[in-house]
Amino acid sequence: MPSLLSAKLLRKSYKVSNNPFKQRYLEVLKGVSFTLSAGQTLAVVGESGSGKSTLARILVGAEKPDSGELLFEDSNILKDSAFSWYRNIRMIFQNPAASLNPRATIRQSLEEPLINAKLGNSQSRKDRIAEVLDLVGLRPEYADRYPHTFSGGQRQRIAIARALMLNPKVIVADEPVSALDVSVQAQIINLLLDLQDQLDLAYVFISHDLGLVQHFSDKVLVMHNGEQKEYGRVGEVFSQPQSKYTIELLNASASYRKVIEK
Amino acid sequence: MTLSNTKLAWQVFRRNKSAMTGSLILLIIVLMSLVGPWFAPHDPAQQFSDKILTPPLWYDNGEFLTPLGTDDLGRDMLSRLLHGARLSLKLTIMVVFAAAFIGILIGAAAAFLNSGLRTLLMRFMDLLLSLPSLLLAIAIVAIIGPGLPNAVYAVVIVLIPQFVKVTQGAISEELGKDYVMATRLDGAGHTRLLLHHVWPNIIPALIVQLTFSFSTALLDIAALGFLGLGAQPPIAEWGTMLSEARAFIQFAPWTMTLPGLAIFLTVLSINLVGDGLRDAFDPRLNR
Repeated sequence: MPSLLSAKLLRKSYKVSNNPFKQRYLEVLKGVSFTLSAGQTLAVVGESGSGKSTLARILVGAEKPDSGELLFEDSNILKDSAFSWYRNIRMIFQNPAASLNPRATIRQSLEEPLINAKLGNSQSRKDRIAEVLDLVGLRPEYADRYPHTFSGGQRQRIAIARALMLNPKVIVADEPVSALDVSVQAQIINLLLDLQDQLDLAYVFISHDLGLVQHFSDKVLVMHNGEQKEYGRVGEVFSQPQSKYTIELLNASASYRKVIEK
Repeated sequence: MTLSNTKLAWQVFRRNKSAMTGSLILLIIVLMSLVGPWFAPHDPAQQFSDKILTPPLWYDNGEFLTPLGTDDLGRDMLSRLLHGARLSLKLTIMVVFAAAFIGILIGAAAAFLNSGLRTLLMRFMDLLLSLPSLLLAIAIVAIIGPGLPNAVYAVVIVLIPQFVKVTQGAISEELGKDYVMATRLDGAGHTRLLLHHVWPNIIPALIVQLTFSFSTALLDIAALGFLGLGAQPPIAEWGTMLSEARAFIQFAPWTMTLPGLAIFLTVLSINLVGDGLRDAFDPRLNR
């Protein structure tokens, strides 16, 4: 299968001290690589502080890596202008309450990417908003309401709608269900799976829920302290983990589930 | 269900009794300052030499023609208070909007400066804020000279740092939120992000600051007048009226009580409204 998005040895470090005589850097990504084909899902797992979210921000263009390559349809988008970038790779944030502007109606939030991409006139934009709201299972008349009038699950559907507005090919989801009620999590996951089938989307799914990852994704990337510990097909990684850290992670998850089931 | 945040804030505000009382008093004062001068029975500077220190109506020897009495030069208190109301409110509004305009511009610029320059600018603002506003105003007037225009400039300068701090703080806080990042990823440029998305979110903080600045400005202008550094006699200004009447407080208390009461009621009502607005816009109470 041809690769849609691939990363080669992405590195990123942050300055942690402002002292000009004693500059200290914290490496949060120490060379991360993967490839992703259309319609596939790559899960990125690891504990907090492992660099998962930094990777997500680099993939959607919110930050530039220090070195490495990011190829989208075989062109290095790190050298591209931001324009083509934000249209094809879109992000879903962890907390929909924070990622929607509280003083903008749903319509204003959904219209934003269309306006910035200079797509359509006001009527066609209106139609597109109704279409995408329908796609994520919301009524078109919701468009004129404000975010605080919706439940968490509905808000995450709106956030997904916003990511879909420009017909992207890749969606980066940074723990899209961890801020939601358990009962709603399954609905959102099923919605994401349906959308993947309908629209042939590729997902980069950032999560720390290994059970979910196993059920949801094709490939998995295990990260620890910015290092890529393991990368491969889900079945292989979960049945024959190669790295010590992956084994620890799987054991922790298994014992956690035992506690829950008791 | 489709209530906007502004309407929601209004609902909270309306249920706040003290804020509504404050709004009512303030509304009356504003109306009085708008139409009062036409209803004022006399010219505020006209001296009735035969009616010096006539007491108000509720005294036994009060006179109907001068319902709130006269001062030591025989000028009608009611006319002076009404003209003073217009002057005070006009100056306060001018001062606050001038300070807000300059302060918001500097604050918005500061939010986008690099961290070194921003630190320098904000510490300078802290330095100005560390002095009591009146003291700083007196110092400025001492440099540029007394008089009403100079007092106005001084109060504008004194009010600017508050606006810079509030604007810079509010913008920085908003810039760290997820929706700003989401909007950037929607392809919005710097200007669009600031004006369309961040600006509506900082307006509540600015409105609250604006109301509290009104009371500071009113009080400082009056205080400068009282100290003889602001409005000069014979201008009918509340602070100046207080200072002129200082010598007569024992045998003509109305000459000092009435302008004092006017200042007190205006500042109190503005502060009540400001408190109400702050509560109404507070997201913790709201959502």
